[in-house]
Amino acid sequence: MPYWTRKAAGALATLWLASVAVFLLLHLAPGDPVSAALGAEADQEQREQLGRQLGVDRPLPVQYLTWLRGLLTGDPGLSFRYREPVTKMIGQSLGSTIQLALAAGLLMLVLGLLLGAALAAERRGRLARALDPVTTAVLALPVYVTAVLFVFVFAVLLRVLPAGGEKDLFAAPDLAVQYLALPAVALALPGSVVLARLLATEIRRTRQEEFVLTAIAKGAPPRRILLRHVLPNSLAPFFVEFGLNLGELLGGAVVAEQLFARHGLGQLLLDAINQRDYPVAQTLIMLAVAVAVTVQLGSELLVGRLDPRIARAGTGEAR
Amino acid sequence: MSDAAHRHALPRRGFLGLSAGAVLLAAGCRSATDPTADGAKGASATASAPDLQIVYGSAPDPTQLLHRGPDTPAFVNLVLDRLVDLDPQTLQPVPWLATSWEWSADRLKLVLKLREDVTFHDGRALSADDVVFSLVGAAKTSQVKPLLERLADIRASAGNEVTLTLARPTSNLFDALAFNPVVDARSYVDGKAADKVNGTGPFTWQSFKGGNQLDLARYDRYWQSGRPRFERITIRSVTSSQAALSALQSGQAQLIGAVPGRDLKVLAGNPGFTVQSAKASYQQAFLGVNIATKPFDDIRVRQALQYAVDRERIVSQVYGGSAEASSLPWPSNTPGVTPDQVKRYGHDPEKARGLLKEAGAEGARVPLTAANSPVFASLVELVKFDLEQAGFGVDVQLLDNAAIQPKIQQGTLEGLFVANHGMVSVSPLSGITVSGPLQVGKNTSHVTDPAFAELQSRAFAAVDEKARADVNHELSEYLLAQSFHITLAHAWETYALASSVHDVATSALGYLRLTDTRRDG
Repeated sequence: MPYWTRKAAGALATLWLASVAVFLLLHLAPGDPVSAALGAEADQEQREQLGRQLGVDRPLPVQYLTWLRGLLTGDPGLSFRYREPVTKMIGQSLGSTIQLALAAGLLMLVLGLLLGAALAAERRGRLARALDPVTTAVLALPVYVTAVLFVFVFAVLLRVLPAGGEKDLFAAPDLAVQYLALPAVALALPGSVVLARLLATEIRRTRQEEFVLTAIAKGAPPRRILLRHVLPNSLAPFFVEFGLNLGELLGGAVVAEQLFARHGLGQLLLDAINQRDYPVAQTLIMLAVAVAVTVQLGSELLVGRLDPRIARAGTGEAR
Repeated sequence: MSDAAHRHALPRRGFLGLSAGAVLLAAGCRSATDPTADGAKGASATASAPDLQIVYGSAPDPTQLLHRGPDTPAFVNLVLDRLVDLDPQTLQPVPWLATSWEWSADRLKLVLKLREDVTFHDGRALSADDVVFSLVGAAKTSQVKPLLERLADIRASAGNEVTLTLARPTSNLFDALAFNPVVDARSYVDGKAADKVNGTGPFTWQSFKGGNQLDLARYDRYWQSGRPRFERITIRSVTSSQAALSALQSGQAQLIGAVPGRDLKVLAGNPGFTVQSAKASYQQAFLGVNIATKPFDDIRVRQALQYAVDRERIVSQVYGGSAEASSLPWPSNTPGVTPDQVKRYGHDPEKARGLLKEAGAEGARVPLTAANSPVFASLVELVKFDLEQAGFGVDVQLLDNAAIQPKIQQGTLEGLFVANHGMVSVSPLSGITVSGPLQVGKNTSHVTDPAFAELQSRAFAAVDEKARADVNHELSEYLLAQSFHITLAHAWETYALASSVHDVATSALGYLRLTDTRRDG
């Protein structure tokens, strides 16, 4: 079976298993949407009426199949809480999260590459020596600590960037970028440090490879060795890790959106889980799984292209 | 150029380029921290900012306006009006949309006269039919519908007159009228308001963006002449109290609501901010006791709990002083309540241990359940410590809100539980009629004592002030003696304001009133 077919089949199976797991985990967790919506004072009649309206009185397999069919046809139903189409609610928050994820992803990539190259420098200057403890500190600090620190310094103390909120990127791009700056940096920093360390290790390992030593022996200029030989052969694990980190950005966005008061998908998901708004929560989690699976698939295919030995493994074309 | 220089050339050049670009960009664009830059409207740099920016913990929800009672977000008062308000000091009704009222001799009929100069934001005049629609809707779906159960008939007896007929006399009808807002009958369909809520309040509903930002504008034809004083208000829903505090400190907001105790300490002494509490308590934190489970079937064990908890420490550490320690669930200014009753149970671990020993319950292990939120987690920590000092063994279980609500509704919480409720702040009768933890007949504590129901019947019939004060006093004595509901603190609704904001008022229910509010500069 071709490499990409195997990977695509695996991705589809993962998505289906995830849909079952997400549905069961949410429905079997204590609490229910009727209680969350009506509060402690509601009587039995009100509860039963709302339960019927929401459809939570039907058997679980029926509820699962209804939701799955809706998901596949692009209409996962109405929000239990707001009685609005789930797609409309996700659409309202999607832009915010995409902006944050793209900004954070881009920062993570650029910082990861630059820091990785600096950390792997052959002659360790002051910069490289200073970067070691800095990257360790950043790795040790969770997003919520760096976020609070950034807000205190840049928003409260210096008042050069807003503490939270967001603006429409298309209506006011100059303001939107400023609103994005702190959450994007806070979200990108831990991932970029992980990427940088990985890249530095790979660069050091690749430098010891025979083809690099041969190039050095032939007198190739260092810049050409780095750009043509060392970097391309060090980037595969970097991109796989980058893909994984991109998939995890939604998780980080939940925290970053809370701390920076952005109303994105992370905040929507948190509210939906707290309110047991199953259609919204299930669809959002599946969206996150689909993004993670797609990015992972993409990076695996990219790795297969970068290093054909990996694509050939297990296909009988090992040589 | 050396090898090292080659290696560093690209990043250094790139860095310098990026820096220069950033400086040029920064010089050419507006600053998001400049209050005159209003990107939300996509307007030019000279557009004026909203007059008042508020950050609040909960989002407005148009589907809940009729259903919700005490939990309705506080800013509903800015868009909608109620028939009557309650005086924060006396808790007596004061005219609002209803200018006057008259009871029949047998107290079974109430005729309400409505203001004639009130219009909805779409320009239509308020009619008696809108009031009937709102009350009928509340009687069907509101969380406080038990307060309206004695209503036999609601009808518009004239264009500006509504007549309410009661099946039996009831002394707390005005509590229900003060809770339920008057909505527009024409734009409210299937229990859900239109996307743009049409009310009669001082501000009009402009837009509700992305589920978290509500834009309001001054209603020029508001019935209070010359009010409100603001052209625009923006209310952002921010669930993180840290983010809300940052918004205030950075100047992005001038008013934040529901400020946690620890943040009050941060703001205390800073001349840039003021803290304001609605001292008519709305949320009351309590330790609930399921008396159907051992050892709490013994009244001595329950009284040991009363002496075990250190209420003053809870007020100081959990609420930053913005609360009141009391042994009773209703406010200390409730007619008939005496200071002795309010302070009946002081912190006395020795006495608690003595009572436990007498009941043979020393070392009893008891479950303690609460919602998993910062405030409840802090409360549980302190209560657990106090109970352990008194000789209990405590097993804590924190559940998220959606998981604990059905247990409260179904009365399946075992042992002890920490929660809060609000209806008790209006009157003892409304508290024991509506609030799940205290509700006569089906409360979370499983109290089925006929004496409790008898007190409720007497409270309903106590229509004159003296009789009401007497029955309130007796109800208080009953609760203190039975001790199935251990009051921990009356938490005041607390707002933090920029010092440039003045005249922010709060209703007896803790709701914001911004009709007279103004802001310097």
